[in-house]
Amino acid sequence: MSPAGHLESNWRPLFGAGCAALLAAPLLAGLGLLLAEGVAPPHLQWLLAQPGLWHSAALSLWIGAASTLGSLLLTALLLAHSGQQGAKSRAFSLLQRLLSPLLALPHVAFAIGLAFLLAPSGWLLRLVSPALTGFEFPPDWQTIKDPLGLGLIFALILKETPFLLLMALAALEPAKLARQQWLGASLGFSAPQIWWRLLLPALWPALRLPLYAVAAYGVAVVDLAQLLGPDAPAPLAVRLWLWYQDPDLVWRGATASGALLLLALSLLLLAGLRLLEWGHTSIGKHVWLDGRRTEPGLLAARLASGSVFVLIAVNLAVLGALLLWSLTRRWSFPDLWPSQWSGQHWQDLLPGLMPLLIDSALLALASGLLALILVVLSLEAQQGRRPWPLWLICLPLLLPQASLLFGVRLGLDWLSLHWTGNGIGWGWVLWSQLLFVFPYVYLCLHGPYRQFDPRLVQAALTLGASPWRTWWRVKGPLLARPMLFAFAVGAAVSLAQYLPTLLFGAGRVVTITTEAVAIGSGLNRRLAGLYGLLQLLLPLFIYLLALWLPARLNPALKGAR
Amino acid sequence: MIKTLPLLKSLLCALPLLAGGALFAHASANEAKDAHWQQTLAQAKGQTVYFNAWGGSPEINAYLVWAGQELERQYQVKLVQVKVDDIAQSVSQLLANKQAGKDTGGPIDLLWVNGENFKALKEQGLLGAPFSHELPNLALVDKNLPVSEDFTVPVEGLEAPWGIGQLNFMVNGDEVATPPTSAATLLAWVKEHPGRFTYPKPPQFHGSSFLKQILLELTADPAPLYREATDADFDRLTAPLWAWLDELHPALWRKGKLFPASAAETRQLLDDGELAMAISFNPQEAQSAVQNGTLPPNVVAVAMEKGALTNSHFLAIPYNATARAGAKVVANFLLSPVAQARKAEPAFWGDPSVLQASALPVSAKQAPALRFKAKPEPHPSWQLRLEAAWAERYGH
Repeated sequence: MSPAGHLESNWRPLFGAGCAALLAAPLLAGLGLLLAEGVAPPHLQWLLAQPGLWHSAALSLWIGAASTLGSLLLTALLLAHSGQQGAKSRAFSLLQRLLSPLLALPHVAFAIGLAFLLAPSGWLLRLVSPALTGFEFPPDWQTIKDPLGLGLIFALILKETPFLLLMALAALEPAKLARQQWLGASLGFSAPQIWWRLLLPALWPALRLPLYAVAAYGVAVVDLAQLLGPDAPAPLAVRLWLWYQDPDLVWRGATASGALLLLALSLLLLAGLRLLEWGHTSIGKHVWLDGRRTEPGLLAARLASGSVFVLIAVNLAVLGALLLWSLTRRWSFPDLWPSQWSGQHWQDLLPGLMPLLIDSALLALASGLLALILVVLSLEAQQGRRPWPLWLICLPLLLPQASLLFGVRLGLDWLSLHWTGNGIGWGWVLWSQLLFVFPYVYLCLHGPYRQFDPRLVQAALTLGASPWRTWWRVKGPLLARPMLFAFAVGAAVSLAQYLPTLLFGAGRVVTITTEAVAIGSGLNRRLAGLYGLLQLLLPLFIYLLALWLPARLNPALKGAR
Repeated sequence: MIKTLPLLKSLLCALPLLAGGALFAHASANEAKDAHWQQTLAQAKGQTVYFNAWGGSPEINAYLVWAGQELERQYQVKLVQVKVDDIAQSVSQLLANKQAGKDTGGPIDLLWVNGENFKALKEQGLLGAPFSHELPNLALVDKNLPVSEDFTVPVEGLEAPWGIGQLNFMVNGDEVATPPTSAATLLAWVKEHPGRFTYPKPPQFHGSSFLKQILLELTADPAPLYREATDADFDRLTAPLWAWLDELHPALWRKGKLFPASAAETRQLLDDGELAMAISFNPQEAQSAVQNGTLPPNVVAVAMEKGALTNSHFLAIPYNATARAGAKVVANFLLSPVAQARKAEPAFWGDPSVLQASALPVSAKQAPALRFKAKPEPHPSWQLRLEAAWAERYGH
């Protein structure tokens, strides 16, 4: 082995130990505390005595499963009808161009806008009131917050499909894709058939982990569920959050037990998804290989372009509603437009805005970049060795954030007794955010990295390039697209963090999101509109960059968009 | 008789002396107190006070920005509001500090709390030494207000009063000609106008407060409500409440199958025209919301005639505060006549002053501290039981 190779073999254990100390240890400590508290018999009894507990648990599982499968199917449908390379369907290329704003719109702002569209006092009904309906007052209908959680599932599908699409696009290598499509077409298969039989099944490994992230989010979602989800009873994660907020400390123990139940539900769903993947690839094979050539179904094509239309129209309406509300003084039912306007909210907010935006942007860029570097290094460290335990990496996504973070905070306070610092400040916020940014970046990058053809690296090494140079000149540029997408997702996750920033910043570090959550932007539609638009700005910029940059970095990636 | 005279005489002679002595002692105590306060002011100079406070109202946030400017100018104390969406998070944070044994250099210097959160802080020993008696402006506080107990838990100097809340309904006058002012008339109105009223879901603060308000309405002799609740008392006194709610719920918004999550949500629903009334703890909220356009123009505040559930909100200093002297200076400033008068103005915040009327600037004297007849908070054990029983009956 060359000296460089020697060097390379040395850094791995050191790096592994660093990651373990920096990221895994606090998580394990948090989990340990949670386990110790959660399995205590009195806490379990308290949890099990809660009325409607199993109903809540079932709801969480149902919402997680339905939203994951829904977005997976929709993603597959959209891809299948995206057309040929070079002859993309109009709907799909429009969607692809709008992907970054779709991804950047924060979940909470989206939910508030959607609620305003669908509520009995909302925009849709105002369109026809009172002219057609005769309603002077909003009718007492239950639209959102339906007991089955359909409104929430709908919102989740709309939010998660662009994410899965982004992940799929990151994993698809344009040159290979074009080759396979050409091959399929020359054998007489229609474009959707090529997707369903050839391309989509091959996407499973790349999409597996992003899909797990979507599933875990669907089971554990709190903020969106509070705005759109069922309430009698609420999904388990929402109830846990409310118990956690209760000043009466008897609830704290039950919350720990509940967190373990939620963890079990998430794992159950992940196992189900794995089973689905296995079933699809093993049983489905006979169907893909039956050799039948069919014309593309008109219905499916219509469904695909219809979904694109719905996706874009809903998002546009949501954006419009947020913008209008941020400029509203009075906007009563059944007026279609505000009756009195006011720029007051913007005027009050703008003077203090710059430091907030700068702090948020710096944190997002720093944690996105740091997470990307760590993930790339950890994926490199695992090359050809036993993989790191996935459950540990995913842990922050599978547990309720509050339970985990207060455990981490407790541990850090305990440690800080022995030094002069107090564990509060910019660096600590960055670190606490990294706990949640790292797994997302890891999940986004894992698949494409695994699929990378090792022969390219071997060829470069044989030609005498050092391992670092090989990475820098060959592997890095070829993986630029998935890496930038993963970075963008990481930065967006960082921007959305509230609790870590609050606990480790304690007011010393303030971001747009801490400000937005504290001001109750979930409940005041005028401010929600305003903060929603502000929260949209930064990730929009980052996503645009991630979609625009790869082709400029590496000419081979041209035509990817 | 004669014999007693010299004694009496000497006693009489001694009286002025005694009185003088007492006066002197009083004066020197004052001086000592004053010297102590001067020392606090000196210590506070240059300190930064991190004030964890609910950040959900732009008006309150703007008021605290103003207070920060004044504090910087007058005392060279820097005030930073740490905006939280629920102060319970700060209680959890302190609890984590305590469990870890972190007794100094804590992250929070001042807290805005009351009720259950105060109870939790006090019981867990998270508040350290009493401090409010050191504040010179505490002498100006109107002792007739419920400021010595916080939801019946004795304050014992661990909190300084800041403001007063009174439960009221913000009623849209366009729809409700004669607003209901008793449990009976409220029930009658709701049954006549199904779907136009609701309350936040307990154990949310305003939702639980609504239950307590109605319980007070329906209880002839409220004495047991101010003691620790017993099973027998609870079953007996809350029976009329459950009967009332059973009758009310089918006529509520969404037929009582769905409840708003907070008072802020009921306010948005009032703005949207989905409700005719929304609950509030600030008697001036209706007026200031109408002024800034966030509620319809004819919304007015109405309270129960028998008395509005009334409580105070307070400022507390955590046991491990870093800038303890600075926190005292901030609390004292927020209790000053200038700050309290500004707080009471609907244009700024509209939260009633806790000071005696004579202490306030002339311009602020017209507004009485208590706008509605006051009913003090029941013992906290009642709230906990009410919340559990409500969840059992209606929560799922």
